Amino acid sequence: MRRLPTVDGAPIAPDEANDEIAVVRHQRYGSVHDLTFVKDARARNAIVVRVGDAAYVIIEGHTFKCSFGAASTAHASTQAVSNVIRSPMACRLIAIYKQNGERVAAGEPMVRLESMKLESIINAPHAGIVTSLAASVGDSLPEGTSIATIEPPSTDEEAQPPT
Amino acid sequence: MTPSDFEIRKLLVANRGVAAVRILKTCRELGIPSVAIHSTPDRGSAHLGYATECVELQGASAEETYANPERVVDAARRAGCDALHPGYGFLSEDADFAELCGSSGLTFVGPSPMTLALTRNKAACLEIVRAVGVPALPGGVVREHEPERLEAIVRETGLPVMVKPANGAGGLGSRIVSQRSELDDVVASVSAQAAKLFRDGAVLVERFVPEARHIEVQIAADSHGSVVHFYERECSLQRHHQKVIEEAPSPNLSSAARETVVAFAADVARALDYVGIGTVEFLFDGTSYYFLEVNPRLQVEHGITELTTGVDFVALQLRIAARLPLGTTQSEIRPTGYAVEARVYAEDPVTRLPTPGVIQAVRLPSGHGVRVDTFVLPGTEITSHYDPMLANVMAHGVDKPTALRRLAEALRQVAIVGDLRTNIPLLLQILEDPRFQDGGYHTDFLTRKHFNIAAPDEELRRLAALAASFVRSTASEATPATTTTSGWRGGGWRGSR
Repeated sequence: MRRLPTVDGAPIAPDEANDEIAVVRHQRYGSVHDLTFVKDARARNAIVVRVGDAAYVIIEGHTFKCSFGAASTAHASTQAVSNVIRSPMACRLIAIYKQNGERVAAGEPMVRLESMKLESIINAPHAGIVTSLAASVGDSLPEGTSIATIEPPSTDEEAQPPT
Repeated sequence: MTPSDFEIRKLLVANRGVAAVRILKTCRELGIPSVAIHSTPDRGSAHLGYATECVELQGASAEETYANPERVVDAARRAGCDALHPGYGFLSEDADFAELCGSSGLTFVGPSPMTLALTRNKAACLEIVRAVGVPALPGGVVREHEPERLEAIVRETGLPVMVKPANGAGGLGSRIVSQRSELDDVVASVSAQAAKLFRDGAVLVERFVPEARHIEVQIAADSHGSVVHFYERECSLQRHHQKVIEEAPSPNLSSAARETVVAFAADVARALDYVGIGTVEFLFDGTSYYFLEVNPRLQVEHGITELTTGVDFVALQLRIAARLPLGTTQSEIRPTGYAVEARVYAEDPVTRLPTPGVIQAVRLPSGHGVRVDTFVLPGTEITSHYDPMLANVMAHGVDKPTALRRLAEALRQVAIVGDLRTNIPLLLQILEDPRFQDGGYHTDFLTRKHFNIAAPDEELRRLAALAASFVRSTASEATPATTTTSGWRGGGWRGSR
């Protein structure tokens, strides 16, 4: 089952009959994407800016924050969540704060990136254990490269009180 | 510039944000060494990148930092500056601060302390202006518990009246009163507020003109007695006395009406022995002008007059401060085309409330006839300590329709994203409004009675989600630009394969 992002924190229910857009133009400037698409016989422009696992979408001047990461709602753990941390833009990896096998809390810094002389930190989207960390400090990464995976703690662990 | 007996060797810019960036850019262009100051939360602020030196004033509030006269002057002296530019807001209109600069051996880039004291004191200013034949609204100054005086004023003004602090600025604390029975209470409350805000409880009671336009004239005067004007700007589009969109020239103004207002402005400058650049503000009811006040500083909206006249007003300010002649005559100032500015604020377009937050990404517009004055960068934090202005987006064209089209297109290109909202939906809706395009609007245009903006509906939110999903699905493709006409669904491609 496909999933739409939350918009400003509120879920958007998928609607098979209503979820088709025809993208007729897609121009990309780094993390900024300019789109023209047609829906219900009406052409619209949108600016989509990808920041980490979220995207800010501007339509008719209104800004919406679309999040694909774990929603902070109770049922979030039942949904398919991306466990992979990817480079949000072409960048250089300048620091790794958590190594394979280490435990990480939600929001804790994972890695520091440099792009166009600007540094940014990517935080863990959720708690878990770092696995498949493949990159090393100094690596140049194209946009969207998988940097590490954070395996969420198993639901048994979470759900069952210690006995 | 010609050599002179006075030159600016090093300038401190006592401001932040858009104003500081604007001033520092001219310093760089002229090769004048500059010192930027910044508060603690502004450590990473973009204006610092334009200065040759930076000084931190520890603390966050304006009172501790940018608006603290002693600390600002101390920073300038320690850095070896001989001049100080106050920008707009903060200390820019403070006569005592200008005096302190002078006595500390710093050239204050702005009018003299005496002029600043006069322009701040509305009653004194009105008296001088009326004496040279420039009309002003009927009204007078009153203090609390002066019922006879208030009664005499209201007999002259009629109702409704505008009640405002006599030594205020920026329309802060103003109230409109239509009922005589409410007037005494409002005067008392505005007086109390004025005492708190401006350390003076005097209140100005003026006739209120409901269907008025706000027209201002850019002036400049040097220390050799020359006074020129750079024509007018229309600033009627405001809310809570804060301008939102400004135009130059004013729409639907006959050449006779234009000549009248620019002549009044020059008269005001001469009457005040003005030296520096400034703006003379007038109300226009369609027939008559009424002097409102002088803004003795660079203004936010100076850029549109720069677009129509080609002048750099910061350079002109520095020139005047260096006691050089203006270097231009009235007949050489010939505005061309039409320019318009929109102020982009960090605010919710529907509720119109400021939205502080950290900016994650910025994409600014460009294009023929487009100018953007801003200070925002990825990582810039918009805090509640300061003004929520993010950028001034301006456009210039041969005529109004051209400039409005360019501005709308520029605003549609702006991406300033993060945990904040922008007023761009409001700006776009104004630009599309025929009442704005035709120029037949008044200062009440943006009141909720006349203008409202709908909250984005569920459909727009769904479109945002679909657009985001589309981009996410293509993120791994390294194609710089793609075109497709196939259908795409939230979960992936559904082409005509």
